Amino acid sequence: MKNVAIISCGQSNFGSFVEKTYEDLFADAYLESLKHIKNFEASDIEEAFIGSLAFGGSQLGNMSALVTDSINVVGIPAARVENACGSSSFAFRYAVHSIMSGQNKIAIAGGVEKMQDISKKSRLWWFGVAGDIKWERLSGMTFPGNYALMATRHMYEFGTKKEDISRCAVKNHKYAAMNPKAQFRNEITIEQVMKAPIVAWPLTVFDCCPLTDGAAITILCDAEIAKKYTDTPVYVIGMGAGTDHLALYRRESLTRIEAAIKASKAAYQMAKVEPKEIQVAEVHDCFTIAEILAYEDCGFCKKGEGGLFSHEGQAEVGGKTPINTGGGLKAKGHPIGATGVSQIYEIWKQLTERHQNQVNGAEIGLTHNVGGTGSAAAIHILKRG
Amino acid sequence: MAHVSIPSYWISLPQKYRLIAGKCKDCGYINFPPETLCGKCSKPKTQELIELPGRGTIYTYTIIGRGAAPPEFKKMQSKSGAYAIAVVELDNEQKNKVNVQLTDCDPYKVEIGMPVTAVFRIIYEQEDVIRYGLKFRPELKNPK
Amino acid sequence: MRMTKIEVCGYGCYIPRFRIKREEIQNVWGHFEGKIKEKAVMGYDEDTTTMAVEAAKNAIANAKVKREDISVIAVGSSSPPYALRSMAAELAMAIGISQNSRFLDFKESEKAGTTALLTCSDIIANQGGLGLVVGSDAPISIASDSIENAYGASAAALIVGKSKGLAELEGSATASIEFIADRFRKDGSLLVEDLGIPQYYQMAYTKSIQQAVTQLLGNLGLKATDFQHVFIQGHDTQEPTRVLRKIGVDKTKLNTNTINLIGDTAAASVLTGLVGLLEIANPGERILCVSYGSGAGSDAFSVLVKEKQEILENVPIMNTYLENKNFIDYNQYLKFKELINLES
Repeated sequence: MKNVAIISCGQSNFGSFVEKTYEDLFADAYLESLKHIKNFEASDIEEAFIGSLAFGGSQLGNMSALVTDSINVVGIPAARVENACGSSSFAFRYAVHSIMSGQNKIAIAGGVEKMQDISKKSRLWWFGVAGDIKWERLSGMTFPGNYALMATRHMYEFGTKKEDISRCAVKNHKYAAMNPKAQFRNEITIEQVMKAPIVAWPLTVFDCCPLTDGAAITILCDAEIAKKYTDTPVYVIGMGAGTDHLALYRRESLTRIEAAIKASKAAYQMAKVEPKEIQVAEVHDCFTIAEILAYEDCGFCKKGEGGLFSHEGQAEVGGKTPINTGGGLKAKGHPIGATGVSQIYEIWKQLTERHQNQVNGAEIGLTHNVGGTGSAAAIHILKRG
Repeated sequence: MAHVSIPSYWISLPQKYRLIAGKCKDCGYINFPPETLCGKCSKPKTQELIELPGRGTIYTYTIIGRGAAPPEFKKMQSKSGAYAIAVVELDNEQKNKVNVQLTDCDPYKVEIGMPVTAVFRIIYEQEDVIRYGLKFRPELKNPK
Repeated sequence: MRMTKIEVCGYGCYIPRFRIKREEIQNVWGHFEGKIKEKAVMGYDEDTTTMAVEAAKNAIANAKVKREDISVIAVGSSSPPYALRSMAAELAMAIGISQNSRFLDFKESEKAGTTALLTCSDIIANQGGLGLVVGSDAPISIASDSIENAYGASAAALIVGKSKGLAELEGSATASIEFIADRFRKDGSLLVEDLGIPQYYQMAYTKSIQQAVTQLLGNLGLKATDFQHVFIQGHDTQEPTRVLRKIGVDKTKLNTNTINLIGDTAAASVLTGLVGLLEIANPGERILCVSYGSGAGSDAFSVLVKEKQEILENVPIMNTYLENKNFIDYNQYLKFKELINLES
C-alpha cells in the first residue's frame, strides 16, 4: 500500500454569498490551493471525490460533474460522497484509499455547500432530511434538539456545567476573529452565550453553528512524488471511520458518539500515535456540546471530563490540545459538505506553519468530522513531512 | 410539502398509536419497530408482535424554542409556545427507548427520571389530514 | 316500543387540563351568558378524537374487558374533526380494537352521545358481545357570540354488554317534536349559530324533555321520586332547573356539577354527567339521565347502580381530571380554540 501526502489545500471564504454559485465557490478554493503548489497542472488530477449534502436540493444530483467542470478537469472520474455533515471527510477518506491502492497517483478531495439562499420554510425542512424522520423529526425537533438531548444527559451523568459547554463557542469566536476567511469576526462572551434565546434547551442561539456558503479542496498524491510539488508535504498517517444507528433513541449511550470513538481508535492504531501526542486538532463543533463530546471521544481527556477540559482552557492555544484554531464550525462556519475538507485545510496550515493562529512546532494533527448526530464519523491523523 | 407521505405515516401507525414492537421468538430481543432481521441475532422473520407498556421515565430531554421546530410544527408552536421533547425509557424489561414529544406539562419543569405515560394526541396536520400519535405526559395518578 | 335494557360493565372519562374562569371571558366582553363557574378547553394538540381515545381507554381498563371482545363502537359528537371520515374507526385504530367491529358515528345534534348509547345498546342487546360508547365534544361558536361563553370540552365512555355489570341501564325513551331550529351548524361551518329566540327554544326544550321523561317513567313503572340522582343536559346549570317542576323532580336531586366546572359539552354532556354520578352513587341508587338536541329531541334513560367501580391507580377518575387544572387567560383561549387566524 502506498503512503499518501497532502501537497496543497485551499478554502473559499466562508459566510453568506448568495451571489456566488457552487462553481464560483469551488474555483475560489482551488485557486488558493494553486498558490501553494509548484509544477502542477489541472490535468495532473486523476480523480475527484466531492462531498456535499446538496442542501436546498437545487443540484441534488451530479454535483461532482458541476464542480470538476469549474476547475477545468472535465472528463476525470468523479463522484459525490454524502454522509451529511461528514461528507467531505469521507470524500477525503476515499481519495486517500484511491492513492493507497495504487489506482491513482494524484487525486483531489473537496466539498461545497450553499445554504444561505434558501427560504426560511425550506431551510427548516432541509434540516430534517438527514435525521431520523419517523420519531426524531415527528417528535418535533431538528438537529439542535438532538444535540440538546445529548447535552442534557451529559450534564446529568457527569455534572457538566453549561458555562463550560458554552466556553467552546467563546474560544472559537476568538480564533475566528483572527481568521480572514471566517464567517464571524466578532468575539463573544460567556454571558452572551448563556443569555441568548433558547433554541433547544440547554442550547442557545450562540451554542449553534450557522448556515454557511463555502468550499474547500485538498490535493493528494502518492508520497513518493510529493516533493515534486511541495517542500512541505503533510502525510496521512492514520485514518478511521465508523457509523452508528441513525436515531439517538436506538443508541446505547447518549453521552458519546460511538462512530467517532471507533474512528479515533482505528486512526490512532494505524498511526501508532496516542491521543496525548496530538498537538493540534479540528473537531466537529456543530453545537458546543459536540466539541465537549469530541474531547472525550478522541481521548484528549477522560470520559465525562470534557467540561473540565474546557474549563481549564486545555483546548486553547497554549493548552494541552489546541482545538479549532481557525474558529471551528461555530465561528468559521459550517458549509455542510465542505466542512470535512476544511478541517484538513486548517491542520495542513498548522503543520506547514502557515496558520494565522499558529501552534508552534506542531507536527501531528487530527481532524474529527461527524455526520448528522453521529450516524457517521471519520477521523484523520496528519503528520508534517 | 409531503416529506412524510400518508402511506409512510400509515406504515408506522402500529408503533405511533400502540407502541407495537417485534419480540424475537429465537433470542427474546425486542425490536422497536419490528424489522425483517432481528437486531440482535439477525434471524429473519422471527418476530411476533407485542405491545410495549405506555409508561416509562424520562432518560433525557430538551426544550424547543422558536426556530428549532420543523415547519410542520409551526402552527402547533404558535399555540403551545416552547415544548419539551424527551427520550423515554419504557417500563418493560429491556427498557426500550422512544423519542417523543411531551405534553400537558410545563417544559421547564421536566426532570430526568420523571415518570410519564403515553397519551394519544395530534402530532400535526398535513395535506389536510390530521396525523395522530403518542406523546407522553407526567403521570396522572388517582390520590390514595 | 321495545325498551333497551343493557348492563354497564365499566366507564371512564377525560377532561382536558386547561380551564378558563367565567370572569376571564366576562372581563373581555363585558358579559357572560350562562351560569357556570369555569370550563374546560382542549389543549394545542387535542381534538374530540384524542379526548375520545383517552376516555375509551379508561373505560376499557376499568371494565377489565379484552379489547378484542368489543364488537361495536358508537361515537357521538357534534364537533368531530372530520365531516367525512369515521371517528369510530380512528378510535378503533388508536386503541387496537378488531377491524371487524361495527363503527357507528353519530353527529346529528347535541344529543348524539345518547343516540350512540341507545343505538349501541339495542345492537348489543340483540346480538351480544360488548359495545364501546363514547361521547366526545367541544363545540365552538363565533368569539363575540354569547353562546360561545359556556361551551366546554370533555369525553366520556361506557362499556355495555349483556352479562352482569356494575350498573343496569333499565330502560329508555325518546321524544322528538317538530321544531324549526334553535341551535344549528350548517355543513361546512365550524361555528354553531343560534336563532336567539329564548321562549321559543325554552318551549321545545321543556316539551321534549317532558315527553321523554313521562314516557320513560310510564315504561318502567317508576316515579320521579325513585331517582336519587338526576342529570339533565342544558347549556348551563340554570337551564335544567326550569323543567324540574314539569317532570316532578326535586331540585336537591339535580346534579349540575359537571356543567358548572366543565361547561356545556353537547354530545358528551349526558355521558360525562352520568360518569360523574356513577362515581358517587351508592349501590341500589337510581340515576335519571336526560339529553336534549336540536331537531328537537330528547332521550331519557334510567340507570340502576349495583356496585361501585374499583378505582385503579393509573386510570384517572373524574375528580383527578377535575383537580388537574391549568387556568389560561383569554388570549391563550383564543389561540387554543383557533378563534383567531393562525395561518392563511
